[in-house]
Amino acid sequence: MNINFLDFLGPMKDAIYLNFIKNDRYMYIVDGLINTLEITAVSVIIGVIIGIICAVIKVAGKRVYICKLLGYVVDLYTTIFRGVPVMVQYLIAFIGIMPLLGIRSSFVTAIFVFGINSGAYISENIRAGIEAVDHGQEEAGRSLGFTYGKTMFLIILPQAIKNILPALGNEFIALLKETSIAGYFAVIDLTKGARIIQSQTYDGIVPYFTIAGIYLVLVVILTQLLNIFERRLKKSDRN
Amino acid sequence: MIEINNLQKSFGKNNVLKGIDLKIEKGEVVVIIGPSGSGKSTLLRCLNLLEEPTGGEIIFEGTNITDKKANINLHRQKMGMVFQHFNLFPHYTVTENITLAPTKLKKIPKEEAIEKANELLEKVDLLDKAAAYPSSLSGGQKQRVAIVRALAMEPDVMLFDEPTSALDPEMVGEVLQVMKDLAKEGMTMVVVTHEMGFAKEVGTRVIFIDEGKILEENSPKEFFENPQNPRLQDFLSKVL
Amino acid sequence: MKKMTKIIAAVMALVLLVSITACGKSGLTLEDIKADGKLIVATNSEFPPFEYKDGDAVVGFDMDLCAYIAKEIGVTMEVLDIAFEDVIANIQSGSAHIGAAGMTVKPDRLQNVDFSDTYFKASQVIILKEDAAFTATSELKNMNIGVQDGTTGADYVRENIKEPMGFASGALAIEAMKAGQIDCVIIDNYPAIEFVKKNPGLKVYETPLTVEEYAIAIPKNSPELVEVINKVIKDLTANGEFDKLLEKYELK
Repeated sequence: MNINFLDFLGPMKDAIYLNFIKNDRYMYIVDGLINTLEITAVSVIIGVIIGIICAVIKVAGKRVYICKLLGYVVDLYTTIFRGVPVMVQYLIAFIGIMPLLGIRSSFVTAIFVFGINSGAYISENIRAGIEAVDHGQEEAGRSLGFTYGKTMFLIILPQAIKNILPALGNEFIALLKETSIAGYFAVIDLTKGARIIQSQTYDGIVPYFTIAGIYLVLVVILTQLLNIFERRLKKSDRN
Repeated sequence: MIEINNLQKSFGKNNVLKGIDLKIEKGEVVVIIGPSGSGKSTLLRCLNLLEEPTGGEIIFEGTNITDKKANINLHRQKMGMVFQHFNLFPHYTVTENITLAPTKLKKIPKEEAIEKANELLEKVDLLDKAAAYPSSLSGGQKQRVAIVRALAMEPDVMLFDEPTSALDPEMVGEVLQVMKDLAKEGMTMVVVTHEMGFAKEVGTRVIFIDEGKILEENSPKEFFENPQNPRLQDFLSKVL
Repeated sequence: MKKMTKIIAAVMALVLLVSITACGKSGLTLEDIKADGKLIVATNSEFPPFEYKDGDAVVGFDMDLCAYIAKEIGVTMEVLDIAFEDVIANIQSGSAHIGAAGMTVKPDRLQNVDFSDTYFKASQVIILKEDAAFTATSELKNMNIGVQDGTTGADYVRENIKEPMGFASGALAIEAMKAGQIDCVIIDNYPAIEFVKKNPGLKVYETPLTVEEYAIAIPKNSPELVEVINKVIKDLTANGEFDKLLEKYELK
């Protein structure tokens, strides 16, 4: 096959014009990207907050009676939300729960679903991270006279973060990709943005490869940031 | 200083301590020996409530610390503890390990705490490791830092839980030397150990525990030269 | 960081390469289809009565029409049932020969596919809850409008009214309306009739929003194929078979 460079630059230009420039179609990608990042970031923050609360309840359940009872609720929560597909959770939330709460925003629904869902995963990560810290560390802290809370905060959690961080990063990356489900439910995320362009231009290739590239670049950047962060942590703790 | 009355501890159905009575006076070095599983470590760990006793009472400096109302965190500040596996904080430097509790709990200014830490490190010959992280230290060095960490809180009593058991043989000596120096300075110490030499040389009193009971309690000389209890006789014949 | 730059560069290069090969592709000839031994029709079976599932088989008006086309070419017909939005991508990639899914001709779409002559006039209508007070289409701009992603209705609302709430299927949009998440659904009139039949408490607002024409999607640069399909449509109209088909699916 003899391909002349100028020959294919022509159609490329046309495709880019049609898919992105005409009628400001690139805005679907820009808006979609912003929505995807916002939903992911807010959901992870909600997930971390829920996750820390659940993890502390679970860990403290061994010594505090009320936490032991709450622990059963946490178990139920993590089991359900890790056991049911996100798509199904979304359907139930969208059609069943949100109307009951009187919430009519597809964006809020997405954050609600992904936040609670990732909370279930993150809580397990955090709990495992805390429990992976040698029990002797807690004893050493307590023997010096630190309260349980201070021992947790000054001695155990700083060591647990090293265990938790990679899992947290992976959860963020997984969620970044998973949020494309929101597109089924009237949220214009990155994937949906490309689908809207595709439905207008009937070009099934350029928009999808573009967002594939964007997702990939995002994930690579996130992975690198995570690596740098982990290396920093290891530097202060060559164990 | 410490008075233990009818102390009991069970894990589930397993009775580990079956009524221990013991009095420890200021300046004493009480060495506790016994076969593994005898309850000697559990007894020591009950003294600062790392294990919660299931019965009996412990009176420390006039306060019943087994009472639910007692603030155990305050009492623990006066009881330094040294563990078999050192339990240094790996994410802090040697200095930070030592100054963490004094600065956070006693609100001692940082500079003052560091100065004190350096003094103590100098004593155990580890001043050059002040900025190092625990992972770069040998076992013997780690244990000496752990002792200094406990001493930095200026405790009234030091509890040692098999401090040399996890060490390579060539490092046992350096740790025992630090403990001997400490005893000479008049520190009250309770030591669970297998080091019979240490017990003989430094102990003011030696206690033999087996199956959750104190079977013999005597001065080192009498204890080793003239053991009364047949089980102690048997034990000594095996370890000496 | 070097590694990351490399990966990003590689991704960009891949996007460029694939786009180029896609653009430079030559069309489909009748010989190509005969060589495959069957006419592969891409569709989405959630669009009654044009295409829907009857047991495991995909049937409907469009499928009957394509059967005539396959017969004319002299091959059998095979259905590729996929998401509506992916129908075109599958024609472009060559995994299907033609697309028959109630698709509408639009100038921007002509850059990526060709269309046959149109064969059906459809209109976009509004589905509402039965108790909804709705008197004029001008009220739509103050409402939450649900649509099925990728449909002409979605584009019409987007270009003429406001950004709609797009759902993966018409059925999901209907569920969302029943749950109170949206106020109305705008969709092709024939599926609309089916939805209202199956969901009591809904109604169709009679005046159509817009009228559009369906055509069959064909890969670019395939003049023989366009010719054959147009001939089939013309012949069927002339001999009365087309009217019979419309009657069969109650499309008259």
